[in-house]
Amino acid sequence: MSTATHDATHGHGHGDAHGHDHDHAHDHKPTGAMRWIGSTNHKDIGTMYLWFSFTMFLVGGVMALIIRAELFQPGLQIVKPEFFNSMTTYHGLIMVFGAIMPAFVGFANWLIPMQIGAPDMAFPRMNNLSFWLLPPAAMLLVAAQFAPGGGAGVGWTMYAPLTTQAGPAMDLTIFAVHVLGMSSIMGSINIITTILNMRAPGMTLMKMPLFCWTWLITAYLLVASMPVLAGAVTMTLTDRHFGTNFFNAAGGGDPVLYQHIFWFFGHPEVYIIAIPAFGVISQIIPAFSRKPLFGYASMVYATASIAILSFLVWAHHMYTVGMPVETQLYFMYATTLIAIPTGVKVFNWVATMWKGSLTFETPMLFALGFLFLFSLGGFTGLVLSITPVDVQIHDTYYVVAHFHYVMVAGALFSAFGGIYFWLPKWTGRMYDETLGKWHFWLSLIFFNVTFFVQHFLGLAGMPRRVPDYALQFAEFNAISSVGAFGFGLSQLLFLYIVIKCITSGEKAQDRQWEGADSLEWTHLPSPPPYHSFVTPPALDAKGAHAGH
Amino acid sequence: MADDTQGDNRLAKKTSLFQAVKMVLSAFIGIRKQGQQQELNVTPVQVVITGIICAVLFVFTVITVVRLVLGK
Repeated sequence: MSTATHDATHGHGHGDAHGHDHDHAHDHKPTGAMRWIGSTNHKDIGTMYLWFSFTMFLVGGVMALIIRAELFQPGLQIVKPEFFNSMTTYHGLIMVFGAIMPAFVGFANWLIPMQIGAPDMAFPRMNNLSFWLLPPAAMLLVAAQFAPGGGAGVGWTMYAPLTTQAGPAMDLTIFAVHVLGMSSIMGSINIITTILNMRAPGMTLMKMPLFCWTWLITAYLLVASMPVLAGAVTMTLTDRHFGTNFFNAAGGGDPVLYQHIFWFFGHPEVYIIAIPAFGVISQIIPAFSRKPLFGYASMVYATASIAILSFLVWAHHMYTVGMPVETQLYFMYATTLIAIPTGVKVFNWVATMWKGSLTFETPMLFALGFLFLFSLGGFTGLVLSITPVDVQIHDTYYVVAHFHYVMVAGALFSAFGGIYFWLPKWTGRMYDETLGKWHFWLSLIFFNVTFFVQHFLGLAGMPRRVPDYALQFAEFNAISSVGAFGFGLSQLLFLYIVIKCITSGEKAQDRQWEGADSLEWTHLPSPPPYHSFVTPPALDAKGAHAGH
Repeated sequence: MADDTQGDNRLAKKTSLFQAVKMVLSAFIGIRKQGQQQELNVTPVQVVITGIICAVLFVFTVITVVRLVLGK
């Protein structure tokens, strides 16, 4: 049996490699721009998602640098307060909806079909539409800056009554959020259908790599939560233009209602970003520990549990709006309790490394950076979950520091690790390991220079979303701004590393990381053929395994 | 897939409700006994239903604790 499987595997791999040699002769794919505009290929669409998200990462990053440049010194030097408010708003919206979420959808497009042995996504044309909705939405967000009155300075949370009073830019922003939501929902339906219906024979759910599991769970979260956001911004739109009073107290509405609806979406959104990041980390750490993931099944169930519980804690974002003490206590207890499964996941990753044969290539460095800094972000989250503490530091830089540890050192580091991990597979070429390590250490150091000091600023009482501040905050703000520019410039090194890898990197092996055991490494050449797994791969009982 | 489902159903009969609840609760905390494998015999539908029921129970438990703390 094992010999036959081995032969089949070998034959298949050879066939693919052969097919790849003649890829251009046999694949009648359009060339030039039409290949990308009309693409239904999961690899092309994944590539577009990743480049799109990196572009938006740079746009959102420039906005962050405008914020930090203004905050370098107290007083108003560089931008007007209205423009500053607009920058904080669109930095948040672009980074969350334009950079991080599409980056992980890009990973999903590239990897899920290959990891489950499917030829493509279930709905390739809808996949194309999911992607091509993103650039118009991004253009709306950027165009909002040029609307009469400038961008809407309402914060990424788009709270009423600011939004009901904002200028025309708000309408562009609302429409952009609608379009981004449609894209996410279609992408999620595609991912769910692909995973549930297109697995190769023998690839049972509990044999899938954990990355596929985390995306399956995330896709359900998206389908459940994005319509809530769409509802919130639609109500804002009708309040603005069609005479409704959902959030208008003068008309019998309630602005706090908006906050409840928004955070009922917003808290699961945190997990929508974090859970695929967990999936990437769960692929990288076992590969560089040369050990299977510790507690695969419990990781799957813990991830599903976190997803369910994420809908039960939303009002910990709103302790200061004037809720009854009973409600505050409920959300405080619930929030502190759901930190436990997340904490245990960290222990699972550490246990995976325990007594492993560790090496520290760039993907592993980013995974370890994730573990350390995401845990720090988790701890500050626990601090914030305590109602009386949060009442003191709500809307201060402590909160800004907290969620940047989760979003940047958590999700972004995980995405960087994933890109270094799979770049040899995607491009067939190896990145420059030395430069990769430089990128990691520069990012790690400058990230902490930027955001660690913001904890002190917050504890000392500096409010967020202000262009000017009192003199006692000057030193830490100057340090933070220097760190931010260092972090921003370090990402140009990342762009250089990726371009260098694509154009002149050394030839990568089919299984570049010997500890990586999912199908894209064991059954496909590097780079994989344009159409992989046209016939399902032959899997033995062990070959399909990622977890045991 | 069809074969898988039938196999799962046969195994599911062996799985008591207690096992499913135990599995979901251990997943809520995120830990399990070393070498614990019975969770593989539970179908996804069982997990989802048990999980949602346990989540509802979790909410009411926390609310009860809050009421006790406040002396209501």
